[in-house]
Amino acid sequence: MKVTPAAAIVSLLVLLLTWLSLRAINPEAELFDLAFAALDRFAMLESALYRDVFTTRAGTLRNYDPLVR
Amino acid sequence: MTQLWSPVSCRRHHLEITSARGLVVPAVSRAGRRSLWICLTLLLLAIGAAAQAPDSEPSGAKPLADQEPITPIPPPPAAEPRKLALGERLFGDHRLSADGKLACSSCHDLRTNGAGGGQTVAHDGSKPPFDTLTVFNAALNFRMNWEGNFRDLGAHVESSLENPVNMRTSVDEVLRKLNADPQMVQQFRAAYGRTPDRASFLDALTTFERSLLTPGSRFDRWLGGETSALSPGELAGYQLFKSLGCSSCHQGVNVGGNLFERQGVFRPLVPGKPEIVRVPSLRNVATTPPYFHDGGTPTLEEAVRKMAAAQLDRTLTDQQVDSLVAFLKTLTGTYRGRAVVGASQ
Repeated sequence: MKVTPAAAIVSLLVLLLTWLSLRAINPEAELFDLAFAALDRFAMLESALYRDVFTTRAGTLRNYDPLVR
Repeated sequence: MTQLWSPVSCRRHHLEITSARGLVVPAVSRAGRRSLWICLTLLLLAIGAAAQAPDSEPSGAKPLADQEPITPIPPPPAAEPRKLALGERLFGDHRLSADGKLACSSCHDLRTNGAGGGQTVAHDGSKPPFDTLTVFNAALNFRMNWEGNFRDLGAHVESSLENPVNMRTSVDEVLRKLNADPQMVQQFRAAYGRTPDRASFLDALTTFERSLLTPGSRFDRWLGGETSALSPGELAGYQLFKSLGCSSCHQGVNVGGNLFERQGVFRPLVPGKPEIVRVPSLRNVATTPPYFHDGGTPTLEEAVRKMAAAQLDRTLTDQQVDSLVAFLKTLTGTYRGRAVVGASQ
């Protein structure tokens, strides 16, 4: 009588964990990572461009190469 | 009630103790005086050292790379050797012109200055509208040509092939000729894994053009910290170059080539169009006469004098011209271990 509820709980847990594990599989995760990395890079370059434009306006940029690359 | 510590209360307490002891100088005060003397001695030593520094090292002799408007030319980018070899072969291939008489190397002589030395002629023997720019370091410019009308090397290659003045052909026509040559097809297969097509043809040529950099000039060595690379006269020329305002346009890795500018601001420089040109690079400038886009100025001295008058409204003395020319001569780099030389040498 005691074995049955335990087996039921274990089975339930196995099913739950299997379901969670399957839910966690994301075949496009790498693609998302690449996309986020590209967005991060774009944001960084944009910030660098703004910085260079401002330093140009302030007359402190040493040369214009960063603005045209 | 608890009394909080404060400098005022501490000082008052200290004074009380001193007055109680009469004329006897407390030990703390003696230590303070000793510290004061030590500080003063150190200060004097520091001032003395600072005053002596300019004597041991001439002012401005040691460059701070990130403080200068000019940056050194980097080494050529890494490239697939087979693509590079193919590009070099195409650069000297006369099938890139309609009549088979001209190759890229006909006007861009890599044995000398990468330019034509003012001797470039059109297919009919007439003089082209613009003086030929050097192909050395062209990949570092932000736009191609005097007018800056091409953003990348590939577009410029296509335009050069279609130029009615000299090459008078097209990429398709060149590809037809190349595909008829089994040896060339084999070389393309080895480099790109396919027969010659537009993408691989342009890539091979532009890969080779990107390798045409001339690092190792004396000025770049000076930028790299080799203080003996420039003589005091050349260094004075560089300071003059900056103080006159030349470096407001001629700066960056190519000492120019990164902005557009109106020519003939204060006085006429080159008659006619274009009025706005892409600022040319001054790398190897001593080896690339004649000067300006009409190729009408044979010497660097004259070019410097004209530029100062037209763009900066300055009339230079002979000494200033000599000083600037001395500096400009230090911008001559090396290609494949050999110094870049003028077309006539």
